[in-house]
Amino acid sequence: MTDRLFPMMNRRGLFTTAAAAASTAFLDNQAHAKDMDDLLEYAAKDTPRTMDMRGRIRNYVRFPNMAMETKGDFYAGVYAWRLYELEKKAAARAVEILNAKGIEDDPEMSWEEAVSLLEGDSVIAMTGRMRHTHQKLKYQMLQQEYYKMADPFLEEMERADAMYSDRLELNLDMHIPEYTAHEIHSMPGGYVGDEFAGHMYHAGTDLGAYVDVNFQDRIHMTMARNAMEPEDGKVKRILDIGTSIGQFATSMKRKHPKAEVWGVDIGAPMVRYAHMKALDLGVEVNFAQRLAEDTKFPDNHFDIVTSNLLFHEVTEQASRDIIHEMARVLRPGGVFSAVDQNDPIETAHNKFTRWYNYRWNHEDWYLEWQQVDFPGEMRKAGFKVADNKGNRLAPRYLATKA
Amino acid sequence: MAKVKSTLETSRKKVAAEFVAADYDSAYFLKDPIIDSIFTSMTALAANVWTLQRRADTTELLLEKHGSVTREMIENYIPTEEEQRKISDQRDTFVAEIYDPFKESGDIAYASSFHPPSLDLDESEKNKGPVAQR
Repeated sequence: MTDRLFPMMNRRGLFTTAAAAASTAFLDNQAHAKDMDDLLEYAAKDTPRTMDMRGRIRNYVRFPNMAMETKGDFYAGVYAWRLYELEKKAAARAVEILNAKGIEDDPEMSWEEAVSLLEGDSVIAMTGRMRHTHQKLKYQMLQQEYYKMADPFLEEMERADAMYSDRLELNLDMHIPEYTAHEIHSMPGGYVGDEFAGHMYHAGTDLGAYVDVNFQDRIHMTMARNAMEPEDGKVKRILDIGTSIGQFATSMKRKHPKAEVWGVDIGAPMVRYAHMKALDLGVEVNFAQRLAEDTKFPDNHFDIVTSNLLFHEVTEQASRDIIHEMARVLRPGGVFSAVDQNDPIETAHNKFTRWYNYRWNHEDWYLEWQQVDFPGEMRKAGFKVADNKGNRLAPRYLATKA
Repeated sequence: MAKVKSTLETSRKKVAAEFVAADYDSAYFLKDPIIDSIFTSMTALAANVWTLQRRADTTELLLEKHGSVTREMIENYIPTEEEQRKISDQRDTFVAEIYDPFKESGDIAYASSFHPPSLDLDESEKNKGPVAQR
C-alpha cells in the first residue's frame, strides 16, 4: 500500500525532507533557547506600544482580545491539519488517478495538463477549498479586528514613527510599480494597500505558513545564523531587501550588533510596522520605503545583503534587476544570502499545488519565478555562487561578489 | 490593471497606497458554489465554537483557582506551558473530529446500482437453508 501511495522516488524524497526537518528542528531548538536569553537582554527600555493591553508572552505582544487569539489558534490548527493530513491523502489520490489512466507521473507535463488531470478529484479540490477558506477567514478576522480599533492602533504607530524617527524613511510620493501592488498570498491590500499590512502579515504568517516557527522571529534567527559571512570577516554594513516587517534585518542586527543594518521594502505600512517592532525589541535597525531594484545606496556600500522570500513575489524582470542592484551595492568580497524556493518540481501533484499557489493564493509571480535560473542570473551579474540546498529555514542561495 | 483604495476610515495618519484587487472571492472548488460557501460557513462556526470552549475552560480553571472571576481575568489569562500543551492537543482533536471526514470520498453514486451487490446465492449456499435458521 505504501509503495502505491508513495513510489520509491517520492518516498526517498519524503525521507530526506523529514530527516532534514528533524535535524533542523533539533539544532533550531537548541539555538532557540539561547535566542530567548538574547532576546530578553534586548528587551526594550522604552516602547511605543500602548495596544499591548493583554500583556506579552516574553516580548511578543498578544492580540487585543481573547476571541481573536483563540480563533487564530483554531485557524492555525486547520492549516496544520490540511498540510499534514489532507495534502498527503491528495498526493496519494493524484498517484491513483495517474495510475488508473496509465499516465506517467512526469513533472515535465504542462501546467495545463497537470491541472486538468487533477482538478476534478474531490479530495484534491478540498485542499484548494481549505486553503482558500483558511486565508479568507483568517485575514477577514484580522482586518475586521484592527479596523474596529483603527484609531488607537494607528495612534500607536504614530508614536513609534516619532521615536528614533531618523531610523524610519517613508517616501509616500514615490512611484509604486504595479507588480508590487497586488494582493499577494490573498492578504487584503497586499503589502502596500492597507494601513495594517504589517500587523496582518505578522499575525497571518503566525497562523499559517510559519506556524510554530515565526513566534519570536525564531525562523529568522535560524536564517541569520546560516547566512553567509564575507571571507575577510569584515561586516560594517548589512542590507535586507524586501524586508517586510524586518524580521531578518533585526535578526542580522542581533547577530552583528556593531554593524549598521538597513531594511528596505516598497510597502510603507510594512516598514512602519518593522520600525515599531524593532523598537519593541530594542534593536537598532534603519528601515526605508524603497525598491529592491533601486535601493539608492552608493556602489560597493554593503558587506552583506540578505533577502527572505522576496524573489518569488516579484516579476522575472524584477528578479534580474534586483540581482544586478545587489551586485552594485555589495563591495567586492561582499556576500548575498537569499532564502526562497524554486526547487525542481517532482510530481504532477507538486505541479498542481504550485499552480494553485499562483492562481488562487495569488502568488501572482510564482510561475515566473519557477522559470528563473537564479544561480545562472547571479553568475551573469558577477557573483560566485555556492548552492546551499537550503529550505525555508535556511538561505537557499549563497553568493560572493567577485 | 485598475487600482483601488482601502476603505478604512480614520482621522489618523495614512501611509497606504492604492492596490490591485485580487479576484479570490470568485473561485469555487466543489461541484456547486453553494457547497463551497457552506464549507466556509461551517469553518467560521467551528472557530466560534472553539472560542467559546476555550473561554468556558478558562473560566472554570480560574474559578477553581480563585473562587471568583472577572472578565479581565479571563481575557488576560496566560496558560502555563503544561496547560498550553493540553490546549493544543484538545484543539488538534477538535479539528480532526470536524475535518477527518473530508479525507474520505466515496466512489459509488448511491443510486447508480438498483440491486444490492449480490443476493444470488450459489448452489452451496442454497443447501444451507434460510439465513435466519442457521
